[in-house]
Amino acid sequence: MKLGICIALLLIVALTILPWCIGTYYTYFIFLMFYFAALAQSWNISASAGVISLGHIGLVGIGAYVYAILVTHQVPIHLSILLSGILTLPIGLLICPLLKLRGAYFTIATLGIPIIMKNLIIMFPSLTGGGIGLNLPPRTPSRVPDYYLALIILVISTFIVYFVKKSKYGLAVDAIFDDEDAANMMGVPTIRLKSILFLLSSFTAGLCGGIYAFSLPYISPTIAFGASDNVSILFVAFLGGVRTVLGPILGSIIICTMSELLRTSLPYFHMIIYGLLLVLGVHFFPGGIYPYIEKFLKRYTLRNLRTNGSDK
Amino acid sequence: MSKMIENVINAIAYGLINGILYGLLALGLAITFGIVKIINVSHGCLVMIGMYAAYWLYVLYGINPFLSPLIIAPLSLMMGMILQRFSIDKLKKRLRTGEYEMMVVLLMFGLAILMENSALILWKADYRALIIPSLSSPLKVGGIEISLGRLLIAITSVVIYCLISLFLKNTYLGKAIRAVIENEEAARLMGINTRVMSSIGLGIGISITVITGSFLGLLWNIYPSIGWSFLFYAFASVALGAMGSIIGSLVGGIIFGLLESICSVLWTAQVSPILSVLIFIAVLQFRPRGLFGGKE
Repeated sequence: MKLGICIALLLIVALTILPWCIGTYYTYFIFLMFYFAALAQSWNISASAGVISLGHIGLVGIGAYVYAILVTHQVPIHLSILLSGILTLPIGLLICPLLKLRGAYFTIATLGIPIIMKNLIIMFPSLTGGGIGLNLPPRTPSRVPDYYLALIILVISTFIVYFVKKSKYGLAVDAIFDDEDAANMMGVPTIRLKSILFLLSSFTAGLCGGIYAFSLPYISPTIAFGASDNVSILFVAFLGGVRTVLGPILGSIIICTMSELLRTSLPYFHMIIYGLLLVLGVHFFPGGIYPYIEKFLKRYTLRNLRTNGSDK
Repeated sequence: MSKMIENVINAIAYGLINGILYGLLALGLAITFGIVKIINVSHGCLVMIGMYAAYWLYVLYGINPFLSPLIIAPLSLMMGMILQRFSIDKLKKRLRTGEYEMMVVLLMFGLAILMENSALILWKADYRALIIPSLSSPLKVGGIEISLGRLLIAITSVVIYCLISLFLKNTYLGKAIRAVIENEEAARLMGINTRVMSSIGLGIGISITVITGSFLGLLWNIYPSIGWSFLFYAFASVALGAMGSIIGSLVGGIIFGLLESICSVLWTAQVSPILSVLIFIAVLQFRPRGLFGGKE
């Protein structure tokens, strides 16, 4: 495991240097990759306990609007991004009572989150610009700050997922995922644990919203609560592998690369190919791609160890 | 003031009709949910397909939208049966329950993306409207002004609703499907061929949805992404009335239909979605299994 941490640290250092070696296009491309990975990871935090939310984009949109409103009132940028995460927490707290609903009922209720948020924002145009939206302050063409911010948030959310998985809470979370009633019976505080996970998830979602707005020149309800982004979150997380630490990152790398390639080569058909791949992927890689890679790597390293041992 | 009252009465009439349609949508979703055990996220896109089907059948072949269900229903029934038989059934056999649910959600998402974007490429993003002159003449009954088409849709929907609940309650096939929905294991022990029944069940669920879509095509503008806007109301109607309850889905649908139209007359259009979500959440807080679901 020490090896894994070393690799992760090396990777982070390499990624810190990277934007100085590549052009703006690739910096932006990798920023998008990080952004979607962070989003999927933040969704993954609560999904690890079986809390499947279809309203994650609602939290992201709130984060984006908090950032936009603060920045237009001359609050410093970095503080606004931090606050976009922190001020999304109370919204998450308001949703927490829903966590006592089970399975499909909770999932349906979360569909309502973006609907409420979007309409509330349209209803108060003096603060939020209503349906027309808000112009954000002009910024330099460099994408390096976006890149770093997204990297930081990705590292934070990945660390949270890793921590939850490796700590003693990880077992409790697994127990909740497998059978909530049984977990409750064994003394796991299911609702409290799910609430904490959901709050962590909404905090990181708010941060993601903040950097998303930071990367845009202008924000409106349709941009902030875009339904297609909601799809992408699930898509990235599921494809890579839900409830794994590296799955969402892998999913994001695959999806972003694929969409960039398809968008340029097959401009009108890329979404159809998305859909097809999803339908086929479900049949060939149930559980996401990452578990397969993990299995393959394990087998490979085991065989290596064994041959090394026999040589001695 | 009397103008206001007239508006409210009209809104109630409109809301009732929309509500009946939402109820029918919810019924389709409830049956699908019962069979597949996940909420079908491609539900809205199926509605969209139904709308386009009614539109093209009318525009190209001049088939009256009230007759088009006769063509649409068998096709969508077959679609649902194939989907269940060749895809969902296989996943169910191979995977654990938790994984199965996630994968089927994903599968449905994939289908939704596929349907929406195929529609986008085939028929472009233009708003289309299915206007039939003979059906849009207004009827005036005691202050309520309503078009003939709307009224006919409401009546047909109620008829379809009654037929389906009769089918589910009184025929062997219907009873078997209900048994599978309630408890698949027990149904299999009773000698019901659960695989066939679930594929027929999913087919029926999907064909109800698509037929409702073909009626909605008469009332709404038609464009590829419209499906998503029905999604929450359909889900919420099912959950409000109780998952799996037939009458519950109708009541849920009517509640949301009325809420929507009355709110948009009394306040602005933004209030009704917020209020609907809040009411939905409030009901679930006190009765986590829906209005007709009984206590836990």
